Amino acid sequence: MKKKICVIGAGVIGISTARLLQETLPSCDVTIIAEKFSPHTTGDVSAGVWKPHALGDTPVELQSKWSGNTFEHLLKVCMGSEASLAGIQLLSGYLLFQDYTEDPSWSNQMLRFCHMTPRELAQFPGYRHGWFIITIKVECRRYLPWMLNKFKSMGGAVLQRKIHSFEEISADYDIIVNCSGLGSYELAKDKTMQPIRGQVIRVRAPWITTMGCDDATKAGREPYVFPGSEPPGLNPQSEYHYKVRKVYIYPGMDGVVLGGTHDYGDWNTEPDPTDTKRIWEGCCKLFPSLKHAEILEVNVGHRPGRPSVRLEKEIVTSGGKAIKIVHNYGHGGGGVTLHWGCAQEAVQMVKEWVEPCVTSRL
Amino acid sequence: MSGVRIAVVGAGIAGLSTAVNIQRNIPSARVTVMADRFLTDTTSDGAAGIFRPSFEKIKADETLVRQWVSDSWKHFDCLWRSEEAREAGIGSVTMYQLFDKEPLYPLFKEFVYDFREMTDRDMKRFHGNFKMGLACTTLTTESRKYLPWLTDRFKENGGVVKIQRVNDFSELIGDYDIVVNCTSLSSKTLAGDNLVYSVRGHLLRVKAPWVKHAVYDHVTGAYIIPCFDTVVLGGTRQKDNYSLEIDPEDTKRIWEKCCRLQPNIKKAEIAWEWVGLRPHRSPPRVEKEMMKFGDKELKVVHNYGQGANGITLSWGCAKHAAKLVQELIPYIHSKL
Repeated sequence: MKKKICVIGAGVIGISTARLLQETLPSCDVTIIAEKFSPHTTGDVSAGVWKPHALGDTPVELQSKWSGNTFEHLLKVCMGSEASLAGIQLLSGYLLFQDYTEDPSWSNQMLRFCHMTPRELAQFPGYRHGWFIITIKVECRRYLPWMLNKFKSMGGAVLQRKIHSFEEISADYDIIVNCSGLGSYELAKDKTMQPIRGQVIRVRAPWITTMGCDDATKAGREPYVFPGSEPPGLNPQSEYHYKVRKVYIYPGMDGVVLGGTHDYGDWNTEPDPTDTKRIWEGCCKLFPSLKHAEILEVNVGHRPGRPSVRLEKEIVTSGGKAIKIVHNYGHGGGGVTLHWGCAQEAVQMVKEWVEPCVTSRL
Repeated sequence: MSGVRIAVVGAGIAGLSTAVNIQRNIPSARVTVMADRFLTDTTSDGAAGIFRPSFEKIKADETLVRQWVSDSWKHFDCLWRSEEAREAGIGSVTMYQLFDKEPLYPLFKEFVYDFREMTDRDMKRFHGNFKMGLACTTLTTESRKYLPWLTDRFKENGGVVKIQRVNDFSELIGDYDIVVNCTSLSSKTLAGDNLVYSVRGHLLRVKAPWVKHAVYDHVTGAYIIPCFDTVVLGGTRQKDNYSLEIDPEDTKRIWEKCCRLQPNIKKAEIAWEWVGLRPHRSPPRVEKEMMKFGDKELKVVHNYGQGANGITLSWGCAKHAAKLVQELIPYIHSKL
């Protein structure tokens, strides 16, 4: 009998996991159930640039495996005939630092990584060190619909609905794959999750073809208590919230994304005019010709922050029945960077349940 | 010497660049640019304008070429870093070159950014039998922005533009002290020069904003170069072909070889097609000449024949030509 698998969530994590499930386990029926679909997911707000950052306690080797596999997958699509439909492109540019910064562990995963020469640094007063990189940018507003269409054309079912508990759907599915991102705060009752609020400005500036980014790693954290930062209806512990301000300019095929904010613990969904002003000024300082850009939108998204990525199996008992769940959430700002590698691992976990004799490890 | 009258014949990239350089060197000069074709009707209109001087095609004295390349690079690089980049149409792009045999390291390697050999992983991304690849970050110049920008610079310094077809340089004797010949292929007749000939280039301009890098396949001659709002697909090199008509066979060949090289081009929409006649000469001609018409003489500085490197060498050759003009000035009024 065909096994029924439900993927909760239709963001970059959910759809890619569902697609890989379909391809790897053709004997299963896969359904995506989600409250939000593109263009209303977290990824749709983001610039979608492949760029690993330290994800808390997630072991570096794991992050490296996931990000590396994701890069290779995206690179193949990028050079292929579906690149424009999938919204994948290469992106060259500069990562700027005020002081010398050690090379990251992922430097050889990109297509190009080298230190900026003094001649290149001269264009950016105030920065003493920098990296020139060639990486990949994913336009989620194209990527998610592209993957979802493929999913549907291969027989996948899609339902639009908010799930409040795993028990709600456990009777209908053999295995649940939880890709609900920040939704797991309620759905999985995971109080270690924290929104990392990001605000961006999308502009039209086709003459900008190079990216620029100041991660302000030394700028540090600014303690801040966000008014109204408690999610409605819940009573969170009082937390130490903070902001990290960054400046970045990521040109893409549908406009240039300017950012950004990393406001830990801020649930506010409305654009903040102070943030808009600071982002605009910071970006124009880096790339002065931006002042001629046409502003298209200002958006806010909440990265699903967690001390580490949760990618593991869980069995929950409810009313005597065992509910098999594979969790794949909590990727913070690394959703696009890690999605394919994580999806591969999540699918492997599902496979172990679907085909236990073949894949169980000793 | 005040008020020396200089006619720059030809309003393509060579003519306009030379006119601006003359104004900068000799602020008191009265410079007129005269031509019967301007802006989008000139040879560089559709060209991608990527900074990639092909030394093997330039065939001139190495020191001279190096000076042209160096001066041109400094100019475009300086513009690119300035606030005028956008208006002048200067952009930067990562460029890959793919070969099936060991190439000569190009002259421009010391000017461009991040010049390097491609890794195997980098090369595998492109379809073809490549043994070696070179990569760098270089600059592009969009003529549809750059020529108007040059024209503005010329006019704001008092330059005059005249719509006038010159059938013979002798027509200009008496009205001008020095004539600068930037007439490209027309120099065959105007300067009696049989060394200059056309190398016909056909290219497609497509809408493909997901293509961010330039690539040259030196085996098939296919190239893909992203420019300001379109991507250039090319190309052809048809020696001694003077036809400006678009040949649909060429369109098909260019499209196929580019799609084979980099399949992500397949979904691109063609925006416009263009044919340009590269004015090739070995070597490019930047020199003085005292042209004789009966018992009359005309001081001429030639600046033409840069062929495939017209945009790339434009500033360096213009600077050189302007210097030659300056050298001629003491000789004005010394002969009647």
